[in-house]
Amino acid sequence: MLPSMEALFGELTRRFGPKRCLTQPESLLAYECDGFTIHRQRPLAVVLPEDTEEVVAAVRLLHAHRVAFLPRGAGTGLSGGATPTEPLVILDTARMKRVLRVDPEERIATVQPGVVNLDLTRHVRAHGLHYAPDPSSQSVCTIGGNLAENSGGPHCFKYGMTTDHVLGAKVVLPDGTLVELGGPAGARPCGGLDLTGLFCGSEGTFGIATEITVRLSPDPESTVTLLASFRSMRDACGACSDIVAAGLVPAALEILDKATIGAIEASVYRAGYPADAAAVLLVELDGPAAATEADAEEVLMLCRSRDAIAIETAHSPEDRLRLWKGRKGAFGAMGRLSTDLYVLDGVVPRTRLIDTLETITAIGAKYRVTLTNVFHAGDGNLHPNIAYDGRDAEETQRVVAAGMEILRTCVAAGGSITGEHGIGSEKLDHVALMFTAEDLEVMERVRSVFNPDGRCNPGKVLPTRNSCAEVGRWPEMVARVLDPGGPSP
Amino acid sequence: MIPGTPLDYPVVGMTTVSDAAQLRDALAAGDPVRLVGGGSKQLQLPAPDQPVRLVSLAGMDRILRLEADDLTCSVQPGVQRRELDAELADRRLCLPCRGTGTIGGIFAADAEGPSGAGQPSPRSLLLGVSAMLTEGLAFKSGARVVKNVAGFDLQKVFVGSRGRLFAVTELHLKLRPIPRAELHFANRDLTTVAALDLARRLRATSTPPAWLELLGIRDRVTVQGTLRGHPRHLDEFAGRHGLKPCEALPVLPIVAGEHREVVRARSPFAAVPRLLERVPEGTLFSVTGSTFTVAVPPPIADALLALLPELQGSAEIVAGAAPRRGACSARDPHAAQLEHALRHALDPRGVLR
Repeated sequence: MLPSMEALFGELTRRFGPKRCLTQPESLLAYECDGFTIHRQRPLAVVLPEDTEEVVAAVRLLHAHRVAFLPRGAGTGLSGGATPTEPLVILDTARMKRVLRVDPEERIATVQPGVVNLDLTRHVRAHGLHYAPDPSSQSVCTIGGNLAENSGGPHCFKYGMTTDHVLGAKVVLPDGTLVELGGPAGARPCGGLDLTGLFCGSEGTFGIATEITVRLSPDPESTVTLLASFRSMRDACGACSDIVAAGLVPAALEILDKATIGAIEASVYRAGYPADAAAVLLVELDGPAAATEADAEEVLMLCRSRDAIAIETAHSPEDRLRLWKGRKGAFGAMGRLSTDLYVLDGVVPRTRLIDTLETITAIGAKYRVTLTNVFHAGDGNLHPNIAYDGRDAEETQRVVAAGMEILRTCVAAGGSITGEHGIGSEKLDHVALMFTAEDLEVMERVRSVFNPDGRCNPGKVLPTRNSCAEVGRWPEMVARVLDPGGPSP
Repeated sequence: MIPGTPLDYPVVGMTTVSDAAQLRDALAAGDPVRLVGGGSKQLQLPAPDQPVRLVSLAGMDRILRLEADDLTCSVQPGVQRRELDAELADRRLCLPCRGTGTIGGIFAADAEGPSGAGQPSPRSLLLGVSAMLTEGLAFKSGARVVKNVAGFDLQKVFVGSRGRLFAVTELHLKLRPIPRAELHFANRDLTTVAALDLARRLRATSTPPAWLELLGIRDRVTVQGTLRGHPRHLDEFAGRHGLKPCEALPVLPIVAGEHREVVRARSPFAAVPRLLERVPEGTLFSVTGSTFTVAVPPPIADALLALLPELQGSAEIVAGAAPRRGACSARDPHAAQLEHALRHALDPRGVLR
């Protein structure tokens, strides 16, 4: 270890103690990747601050020693955003999990970044409120991570993304400066710029949020959830389009394919989805009782006109939870298919869903990978999931190549390489599918305003100038993980 | 210089552009420029600090695509709101935010700010932009689809930037179906206490009005707004809360006059009584969402600017004499530095004024 690094670790350990400054290899193992397991690299150390003051202290020390760092929430991200790309220190916000303030009348809350998404909703439930963004990982993912990634979830179709619910944040910039963006009255101050909106989704490359003020949403008066099963994916997508074309705005419109249904029904997330369906469409309607009942009737009619095999309507909270259990547990259920899961996150215009899904199926066959689909149909946000064995380098390469081709297909259809998971390290090479060198130059200028030395979550979001094939390096990374003692690539 | 809009700041000329190439040429000289759309909001924005040439984007006025089934459209910045609304109405769609003038102007000015409960703010409707820096570099941010997190969200920081960061050449917008029913209401001549109480009750419902405004003078306040949704629900909601349906909402513009300037403040709703304490008897005020608007003499305007940070809000003089327009309440100096650095990074020559 370099003497300067030794001095840094000494100072961090003195400040945070050995339990909150982890440097032992076995303690760092859990930090070598997030939910994107293809890319792994252990950090130099992990620091666990508990409040803003401690984050400022840690970042100032790191800045003084010119050591890079990255902020980490629960590590549930699916694009490698919380995985080091170079030797650095992780600032883990797991101990920053206090709800600092709730104002039920203004419908806002201020929380530390480590508060778990679902815990915030539990915290404000007594006021008839909830926090609307609900990623599938909401029982473990954190508000800080959601802010960094601009997370979505099934209810985005009606309620928007994280950015639509964040009013402000206290942020520690990479040099240790504490800055307040937005506030309880709105993300943009009168006469100022919407730096809150710019910070949201910057994937931890602009700084680390230590207090976040969010908008809370009122619980709907009534909720109706329907599960319609279809003989073909085309019919399921058609029903989804018919619902939107009819002028309805459901809270959620989700589709799961046959393979996903099979995995769910064989797992602990079993929800009673019909085994004979080629696809199921999960529709949730919420609002005033008079409206949801009328809208549910219309959804039933539209699904029937698409030859739905069966339609189950859930009115009670228990039945609704059961129907959602399968959808929310879908990624967990995939664990039955193989040891690893690569979750893609492409977006297409909703009207291009079925064509794109057919192309994705062909890509899966071409690369001989096991593909399943579970997706936010209302938003056109696809999640093709590839189950694979990460210990098999050749299979991993096929998985990576299939993923690249799928995202290329999404962009060609007028869509995006990511709807809610972010670029992270996973999609650095895919960025060029969407953005020109000029687009990236402007983004680089913006990043330099917040992070001029590039030491805050380096190697994320924007591809490095000298890299022509970031994706191509993953198998090398995999090889390194498999054989740490082997030659450096 | 702009037909129908007498400006109160020095202008050295005007160029109307109709495409990106003309825009690039107009910006190339590097002399101070004020970007405008139709010009209708110029007297609500800070005056430039030196003589400027107006570059009007009003000639970029095409609706480029309208993908009704995907609930999206792409337009050039000079498209008039009323024209877009007409096109959308034919397809039973709408852009669910308030604002008049050009589409580019609505987003660049973001005059309404976050409108509050029930209605999306412009920032949540802007999916992406194509844009140009003053040095002529064309770039894009965001996407055309309703969900996207690729890259940094420069379109977010464009909203409310007043054309001081870059010029947009294309805006990708999120649309909504036209509401199934709409009901306007106006409960007039309420005491301030009764008006605030009614507004609080409406805001506390699970389906607050899509638009809610308190308008009037102290103790003669109208609580008015618009309910949107299913017809059965609207009637029931209006009945339950004692709302009085009306044909159209009264409009009482709050304007500057001799010795009066318009202050727009954003604060938590609970701060409204404290703001009203500072306003002289008989002064017309409006509260929409988190936005409080009032026309007051300069010393009171200054007092409001000074008060807002204490109330966890901010304020700005948005109409009045040119030298005072744009004065803001104090905010975090580090945030102000970041804003300055961002402007410098995107417009290093300081062309946009």
